[in-house]
Amino acid sequence: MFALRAMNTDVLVAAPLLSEVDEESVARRVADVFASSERIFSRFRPNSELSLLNAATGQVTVSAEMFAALRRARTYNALTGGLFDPAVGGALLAFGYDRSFAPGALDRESAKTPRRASFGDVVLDRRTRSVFRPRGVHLDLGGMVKGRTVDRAARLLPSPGVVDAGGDAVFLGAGPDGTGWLVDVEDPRDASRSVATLRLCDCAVATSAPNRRHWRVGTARMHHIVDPRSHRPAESDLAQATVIAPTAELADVLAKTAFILGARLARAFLERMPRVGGVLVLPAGEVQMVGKAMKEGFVVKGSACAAPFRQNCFMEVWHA
Amino acid sequence: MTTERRGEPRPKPRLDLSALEWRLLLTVALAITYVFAWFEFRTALPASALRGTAERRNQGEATAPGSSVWLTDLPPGERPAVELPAGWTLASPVNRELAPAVVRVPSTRAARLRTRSS
Repeated sequence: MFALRAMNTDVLVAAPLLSEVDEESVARRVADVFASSERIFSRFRPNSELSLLNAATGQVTVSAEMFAALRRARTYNALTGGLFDPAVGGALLAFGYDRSFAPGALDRESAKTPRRASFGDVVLDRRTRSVFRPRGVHLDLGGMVKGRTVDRAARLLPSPGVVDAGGDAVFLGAGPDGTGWLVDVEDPRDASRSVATLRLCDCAVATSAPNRRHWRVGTARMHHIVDPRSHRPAESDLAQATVIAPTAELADVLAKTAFILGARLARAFLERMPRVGGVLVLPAGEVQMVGKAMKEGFVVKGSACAAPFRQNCFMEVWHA
Repeated sequence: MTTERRGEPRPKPRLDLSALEWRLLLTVALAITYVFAWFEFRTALPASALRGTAERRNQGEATAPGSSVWLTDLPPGERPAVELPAGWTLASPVNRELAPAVVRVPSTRAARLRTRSS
């Protein structure tokens, strides 16, 4: 297993059946994928393509990779009824999230009032591969791009294999011993504990919560999950939302959407999605398992695997 | 008195086409001529006028005399001295930083991972 630091998080790469030399070679290629993605999509690098796009006036021709990501973002924007909206980048800037997050680094006494912006106002011209971004609209593709990069990196790995970028992870195959990958869902109130353990194969997972990335503006507590309806940090009755989906990109978008929706609506939203499951954690610690995939999967009350794995299956294992 | 000369009957044309069919035939012939001419002139154009020269330059064709190459692509010893006009500065080179370093971690962690917000 190899680790690297990218996108302000630790990335783990494992391909247990490969020799150490081959596994390291794959990990290096994964590192290249992350480096390439950061060069294009980082909001905090002044010379990244996204920064240049956010600074540009008028119509801008972008790279094929950027255009594909923006088109995908548009799909997710529609899928989530506008709750996934890359145009919240302006609100994040107004609240002071203008550099890579570090505890205490973003604290300030006052913040600007965010300008209302919608991704719907951004024009994507497929014919010329160009983007028109109205003045004041700042795009942030953060979590979606992290998931997208994990998906791309995972295509370099054989099965079984895993790429895990700080909670956005893709699991190939059924783990090192063929019984599935064991994935602890962190307790948002106490990072040393977990609220559930998932046994996963051939799927991806992502978690959204404000417990790690938050800062202070005056006496108010800010966090990075902005509700595009209010252009304020989402006021959710959830403490954390974890989503299991076929890709990390989708899992990340749905986890963020579920958090913004809150427990009741998130439950209904995730139930509608095929091959998607969720673990919702309420502030008091209550854990709710939701989604069709959870019901279709095998549920076991221990660590033993009673049935052979299927493609795209996963199962849950409750902690005692 | 008029006499009507009756010659041999006029031979029937080989292509018995209507006016519309003639027009179609003419259009197709012109189109073929145009496409043929376009391909001929296209291949006669200098390479620099065609699309994709940038890609070819990056693939090493720029080493031929008379072609262009990025200054930063040349080995440091072969870079010509560039005198900039007063008030001009060289922009920082294209960001080609290395990929993040990869370190080995104990494989026991592979059996159990953790999902969390990040």
